[in-house]
Amino acid sequence: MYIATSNKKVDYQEVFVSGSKSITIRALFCAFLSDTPSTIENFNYSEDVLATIDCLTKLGGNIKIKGNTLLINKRKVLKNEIFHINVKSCATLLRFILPLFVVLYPNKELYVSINEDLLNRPMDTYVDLFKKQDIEFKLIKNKYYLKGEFKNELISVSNEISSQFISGLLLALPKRNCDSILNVSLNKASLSYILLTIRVMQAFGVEISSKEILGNATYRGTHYLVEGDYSNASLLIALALNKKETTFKNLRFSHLQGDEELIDILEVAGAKIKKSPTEIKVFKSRLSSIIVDIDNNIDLAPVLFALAVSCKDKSVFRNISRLKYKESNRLKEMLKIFDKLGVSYELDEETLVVYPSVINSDTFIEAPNDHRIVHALILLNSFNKSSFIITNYTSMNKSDLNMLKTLEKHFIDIKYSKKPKVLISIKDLDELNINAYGYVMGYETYTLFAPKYFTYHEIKKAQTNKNVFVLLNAMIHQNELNKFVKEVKKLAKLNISFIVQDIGAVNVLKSIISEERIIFYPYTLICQKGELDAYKMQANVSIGISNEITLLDTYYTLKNSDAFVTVFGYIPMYQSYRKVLSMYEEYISRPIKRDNLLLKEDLRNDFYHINENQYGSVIFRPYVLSYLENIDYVLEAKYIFLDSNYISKNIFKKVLSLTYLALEGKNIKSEITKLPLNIKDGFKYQDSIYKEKSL
Amino acid sequence: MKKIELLAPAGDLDKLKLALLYGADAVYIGGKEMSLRSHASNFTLEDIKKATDFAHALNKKVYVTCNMVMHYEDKTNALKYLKALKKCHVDAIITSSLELVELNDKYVHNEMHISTQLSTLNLASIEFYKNYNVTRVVLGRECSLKEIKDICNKSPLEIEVFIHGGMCSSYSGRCMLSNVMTLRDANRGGCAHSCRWKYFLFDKDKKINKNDEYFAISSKDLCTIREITNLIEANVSSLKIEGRMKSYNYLCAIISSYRKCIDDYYAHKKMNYKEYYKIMAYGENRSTGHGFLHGNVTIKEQLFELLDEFKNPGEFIGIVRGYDKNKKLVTLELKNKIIKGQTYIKLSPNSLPKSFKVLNIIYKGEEYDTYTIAGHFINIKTDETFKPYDIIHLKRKK
Repeated sequence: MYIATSNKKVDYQEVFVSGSKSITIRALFCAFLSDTPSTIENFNYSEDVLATIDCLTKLGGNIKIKGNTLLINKRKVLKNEIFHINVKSCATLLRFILPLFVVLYPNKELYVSINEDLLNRPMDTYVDLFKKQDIEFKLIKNKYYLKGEFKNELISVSNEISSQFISGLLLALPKRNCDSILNVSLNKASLSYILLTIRVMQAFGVEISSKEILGNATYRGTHYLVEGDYSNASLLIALALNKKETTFKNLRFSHLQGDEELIDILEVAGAKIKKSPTEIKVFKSRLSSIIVDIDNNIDLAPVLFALAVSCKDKSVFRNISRLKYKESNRLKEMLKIFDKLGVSYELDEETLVVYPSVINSDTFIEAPNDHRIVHALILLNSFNKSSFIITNYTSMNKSDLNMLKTLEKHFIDIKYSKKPKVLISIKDLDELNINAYGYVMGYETYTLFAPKYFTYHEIKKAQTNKNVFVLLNAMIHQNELNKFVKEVKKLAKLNISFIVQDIGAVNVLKSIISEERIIFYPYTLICQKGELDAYKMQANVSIGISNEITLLDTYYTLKNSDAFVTVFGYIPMYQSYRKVLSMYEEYISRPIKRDNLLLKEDLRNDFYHINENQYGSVIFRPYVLSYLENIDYVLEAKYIFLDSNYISKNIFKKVLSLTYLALEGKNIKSEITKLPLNIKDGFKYQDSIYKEKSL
Repeated sequence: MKKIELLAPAGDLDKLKLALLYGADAVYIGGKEMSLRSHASNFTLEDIKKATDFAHALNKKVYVTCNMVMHYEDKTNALKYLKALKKCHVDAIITSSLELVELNDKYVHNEMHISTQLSTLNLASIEFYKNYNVTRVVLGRECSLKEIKDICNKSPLEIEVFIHGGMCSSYSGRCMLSNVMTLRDANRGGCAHSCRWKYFLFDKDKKINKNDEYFAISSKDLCTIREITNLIEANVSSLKIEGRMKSYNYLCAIISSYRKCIDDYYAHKKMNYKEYYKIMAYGENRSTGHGFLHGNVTIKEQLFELLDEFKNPGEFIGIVRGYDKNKKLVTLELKNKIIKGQTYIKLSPNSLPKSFKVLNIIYKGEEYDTYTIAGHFINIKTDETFKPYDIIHLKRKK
């Protein structure tokens, strides 16, 4: 799945920013720990918050969603010996819930499932702490295991990596039945988040005023109004620099959220911003340059880097090294994006200098699983005339499931990827039970190659409750034309569609049936959209495009074309009327067994499947071509075709299930490489050489 | 009765002149853009203008091939190029791109022909192309004589067929052997002729071929001299010789042969195939067959003995560039070794091959008994008269 975003033309507008995720999660923990009911209004509706609700519920919480408010009643103390929770990709949740579990359920067992992207996030702080406290804490496969209880009064942690460890302890320790001394070495960068935790706890009646944390504290239920989220608003504010005047209604300047610092940074860089206790106004401004210490603004880095590209002058970011510990190695990821887009920059160990650049939009950018980087990409697009495609953008849902709606309403136009129909070729009628939109079936006449040649009666049977596409890919010779017309007239009475290779066949078919039922697939001839459109002028059919082009050319050829593309299978590289196998049998005066024939060129190691029937011979590429790991490039197609020719049933079924996962936006790259098939890239990344000078 | 067109290839301006002088009614050439045959020394626009000037003065035609399957990177100058070709007064453009046809129809109005790269094999396809502004279709080489007749009788467009030269083993335009095996795209002029390589067949992992039984995909070249009368009577509009990369020698011999054959037919003379083959033999050095004209190819048209494919090509001695009548001195662009006192054959437009003796060899004022440096312009003395573009051959040993 992908989005193509571009700047939306709006002059004046008012924007309500949804609640802060950091505050919502903290308030949820406090409400969960409260003895009396709470309501949390304007909560942040995000995957992380939903995961928090789920985990707290599994620990006895009673939480309901009503509109934009969370209703939290007193939790139950569960009698379980073993608890299973899933924090998904939420690092905050993971780090908050571990010490709390130890306090609430001493010596019970906890298994915490996590998404793969959390595996790389450091947990050393807790590893050390739990070890000192004799608490069992380990990673088993993709799950953390925790069991034990805090034994000592003194809780010592260092806070070099993340404030979330301290916040987690701050939330949990007051529920101990003894006092604790939290010995931490704080760094300035994390202070704002720790203060945020303390302020939210305060609202629930728990005071933290020193290192000494009193036990047996009581969290009191309350009505908590979550203020606008600066982490999401940072993108909105940055986008507002490109709009005449934007008023952010529920965004306060309360110094609760670290990201508030963006306002100061932008003002220094030349943005015109008006602050008041209840709202913030942003006016259209071109920034001169951004010069900041990133160590204090680590979460703002991607957005600031993106803004730097359209500044008047070069921008300088100091102390960049801590960026690599976030959701993604933000520095590396942003520089990878800059490289692809042609942004100029200079980098040394501690400093990044970004120069104003015109970006190359003719590309796809795959975002890492980091919503802040998706924000940066959206920002880069909206400051440019043409837009690149952003794939893997759904990490935005981690911080706000409504963010895209908000963005679309106020700041950007979004074009979403389409979902093509999946066609598969089948080897027997049983395979009609495999889940697909349509089933491609070879036929006993006029099929040059297919996994199987079905009879008329088999096709008739299949079409009664399935979408059947009959593959008539033989070239139609003049002496066969009348017979061909007769045959397709007979077939056309069935409820089926046709895939044909010969343009004459298209011409015949379109006089018999609606163009909607015809796919013209000349294999190699359609390599760009202009050619496809020229055919469509006289035959408004779906057209199959070539596999001899790059992924990017594939995307542009498929775009708004209602086209067809083979996305998986052995691709033919030679089709001939001549019967090369029969002639060879005659030449060597002995028959050849045809079932498992392979061809090998003298000097090469590859083996090519070769096949012959009454319509001629076909030789296939020596490898399987797969676009499944690059599915974003073919989403514009009307049909994507997976050809099972020469692929075993079980493997093909696995391929198909991976296809559906890919279509849902899941990353299946590693699964594809595990398939027991010789899969190669073909021309996906490298167009062929043909010019004399290149030879 | 409109006389059938004999259409010949030319790799450069000099070969174009030669082709027209030896009897082609029209010549097809590749420009610097959108043409296949990347090795053929393709024509600049300036050359194309010179070509059309030369051809039109002889009341003959020049067609330009723009028959590559374009990728995005190939498209940049398409319209500009079509306009430039119009300015050069080319007689038609041969293309496999309907986009180019549309573009031309909208803005330029060159005459357009559908290339054999689209493998047109039936009337229904021709009816489809009729919807576009094209005047001629070059049929796929897989058509039989019977099919050609049938198509020509009913076709709303002119029909051109291949009569001689190399054959794609695959349906033209559908072959990716070269692209997959060598990264050279045949549809964009990079064909590495992978179909002519040696192959082995395997049944799973067991080799089927015995040692010298190479598996053949490749085809013998096409030669249809015996079918020319049938093709004329089938109402074909144009007979096409393949080979924009072929030599002077090949062009001169093949064109002369077919010219003679066609002229004899129209002059109601008895067909003298022995003579046509004799002329052809001066240029042809590969095994030939009649292709698909009698139906699908058989073992006779398939090329199994790959190593025997090329016979000795060393009989082409040179091309005449000038002649001094008074001194009886020929200026010869030398291609192969020449020996004083030896008898050679002169090939000349519109005449039969003729023997002559080389009396003397002179290079830069010095006399030689033999001279071997190909590419040098030398003088030879002989009693025979010559014209530019005459071709000199070594007399074949029986």
